[in-house]
Amino acid sequence: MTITTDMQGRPVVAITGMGLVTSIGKGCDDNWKVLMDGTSGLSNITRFPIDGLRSSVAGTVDAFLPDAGQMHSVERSYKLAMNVTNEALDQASFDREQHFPGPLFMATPPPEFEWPQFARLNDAGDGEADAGYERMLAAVKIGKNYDEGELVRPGLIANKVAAKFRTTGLPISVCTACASGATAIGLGVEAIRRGEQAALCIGTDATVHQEAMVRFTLLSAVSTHNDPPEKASRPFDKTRAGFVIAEGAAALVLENYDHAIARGAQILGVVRGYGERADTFHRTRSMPDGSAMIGAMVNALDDGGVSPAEVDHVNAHGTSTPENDKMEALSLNEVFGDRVLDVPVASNKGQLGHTLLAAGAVEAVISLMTINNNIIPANMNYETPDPAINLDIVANKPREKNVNIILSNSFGFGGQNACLVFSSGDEYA
Amino acid sequence: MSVSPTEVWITGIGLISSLGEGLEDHWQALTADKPKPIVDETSFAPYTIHPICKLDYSLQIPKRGDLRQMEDWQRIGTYAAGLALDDAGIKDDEELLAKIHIIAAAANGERDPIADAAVLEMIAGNPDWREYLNEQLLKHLRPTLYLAQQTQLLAGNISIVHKVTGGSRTYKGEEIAGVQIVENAVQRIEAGQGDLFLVGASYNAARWDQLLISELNGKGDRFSGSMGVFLVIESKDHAKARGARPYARIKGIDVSSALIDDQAEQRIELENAEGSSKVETPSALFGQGVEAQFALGCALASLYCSKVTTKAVVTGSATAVIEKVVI
Repeated sequence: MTITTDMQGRPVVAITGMGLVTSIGKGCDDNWKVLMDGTSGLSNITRFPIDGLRSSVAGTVDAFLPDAGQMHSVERSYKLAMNVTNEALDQASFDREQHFPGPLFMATPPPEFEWPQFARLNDAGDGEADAGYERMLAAVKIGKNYDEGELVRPGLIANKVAAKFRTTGLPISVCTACASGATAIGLGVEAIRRGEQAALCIGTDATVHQEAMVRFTLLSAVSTHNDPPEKASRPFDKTRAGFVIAEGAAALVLENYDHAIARGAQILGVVRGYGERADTFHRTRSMPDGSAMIGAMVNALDDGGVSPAEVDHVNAHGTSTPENDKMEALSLNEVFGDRVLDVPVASNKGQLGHTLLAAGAVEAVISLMTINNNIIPANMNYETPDPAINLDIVANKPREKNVNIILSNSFGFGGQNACLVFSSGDEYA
Repeated sequence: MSVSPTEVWITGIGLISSLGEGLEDHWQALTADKPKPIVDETSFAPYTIHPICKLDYSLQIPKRGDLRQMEDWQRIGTYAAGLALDDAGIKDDEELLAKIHIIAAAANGERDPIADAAVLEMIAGNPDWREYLNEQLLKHLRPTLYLAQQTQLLAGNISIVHKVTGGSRTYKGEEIAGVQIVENAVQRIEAGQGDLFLVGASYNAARWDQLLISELNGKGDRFSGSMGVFLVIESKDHAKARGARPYARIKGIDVSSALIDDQAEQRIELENAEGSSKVETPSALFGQGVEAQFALGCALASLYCSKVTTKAVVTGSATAVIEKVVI
């Protein structure tokens, strides 16, 4: 039963468990330690040849997942998801063997054919037929399918996770590009406000593979600062030249506040608000006036009944692309007005890289750890201020600050903008 | 089954398929003496598909730059979304467009079979193929192709072309994702989490990569059908306030029997006021539309309710009860 409600009379959404794997560490505690010492998770790609690529840096999970480099990205992403979910359920004191008392919302990467699959299927085809789909289809038709069909099914990862933890109802796999992790949490917030007791929200993305690098290169989206790799991602810095693809996953157990209190769970924080706004301007660029980004931030703040003056810190999307960081800075100036320089801003992507579809969830976990520790992890590689960016960047060293409310931004290609507002939850204690 | 506390209305339908464009074309095809499927048995032989009807895409996607940055799955869906907005009378209404939440269902976007074959040709049988792959990919891939491959870029294109800005989400998971988009819109309307939704999907059957996915999953024998289906789903109060007329109401959605790998054939059970009933199986005419299949069932059920029946129950991946609205 709901007793505790927010200003709009809705159930309060608590966070009671979190799990995290990124290029800098496995587990929330290890990630936090490395966030505090600033060591980069980015390195030169060794998983596949980098000849001809203008960008050759990524943040992989190879150090934390045996044989990661040999897997299809769907398998890698699934394993990371299992990893972080186990951690989150343990922290929330949910028995992993029991069914999870709520639905699953999951941001998962596209389950695409990768070239090792294509090469195997093509080689299995009739020696006479030309290379290509007809040849591969003919091979599959006579039974040479190598069980690879499952890997390219869009709902696979969420379906397997749902079956494993026995979440309720049908799992939703969501894609809003680089905002997906935040949208998965937004779906969980809506579910709890509709009366669910709990929701499992996960973002996972481990898609550092050869074609992915080529495609982002063709879109001129990835950083060309390859040497040294730890300086490749430079959010908000004047010399920024693109993002760095990285792998990671995060899970959050969302729970009806009263349900959590009743079973004695620790409240790690509260999701105060969620907001989205779609952009109509361009597939990879945002409205020049920032209206869609601004709209998403304002909607999230309004949803949470939080005024801009109450925000202690912004966990920025901050991809390190010239476009995103300029537009995000402009939008933050619009939202916070004269107070903008009173709100420290940091992007975790300077240190971790961009975990793409997982980023919103990864950064949600980091935001909650920030609130719980009252220390803001640094925006690494911010060395040359950009006159076009009027923000107080938490440059290169973590900053101690009493942080109660955080705005976390996520923006994706295709005009996908989703923002979250987190608080400590002390206001409901 | 949950019964809506707030009535949920379908106030706009955008439908294109092998049978034609818009509701009248489809009504004619459905009510013909001997409904005749339109199929293409040669382009993808030995596979048979239902191709999309002949369309002038510029009618709904006027900018050539927009069309150029899409592949057919996106063009089909964006076109159908435009028809739905037109049909609901909100096409150029900026205030309403800013309130609309898009919920689309989509899988991976389209690959270029010619580019893939060209790359495969160069790496075939070569144990050191990885060494050559970057060079080949850089030669054959192009930026616009990647834009066609991104799952969220059906919804994204709908926002860009039709200026829908309330929100944009895409769910993945084949037929079941097609159910979830409708279910989620209904849930959110009932809970007061929005009152105007544009919900749907597109499926382009004329794709080698999609055929390969189907064949790998043991579904190569089914006839797939190109289609674009979008519904404007709206709370009764919101629709009445703006003077919109409903095709039908969604009385309830039941997913309790839905299986993640459900391939049950879709049926629409039609009941009229006298209690007599009749069953339609859309796939025979349309082919399988995967992500778009459930929205198709809901669209056809609504069409029947607006014309001849009092109730239509869609079954298959999940159950939707659609009822005539008496105003």
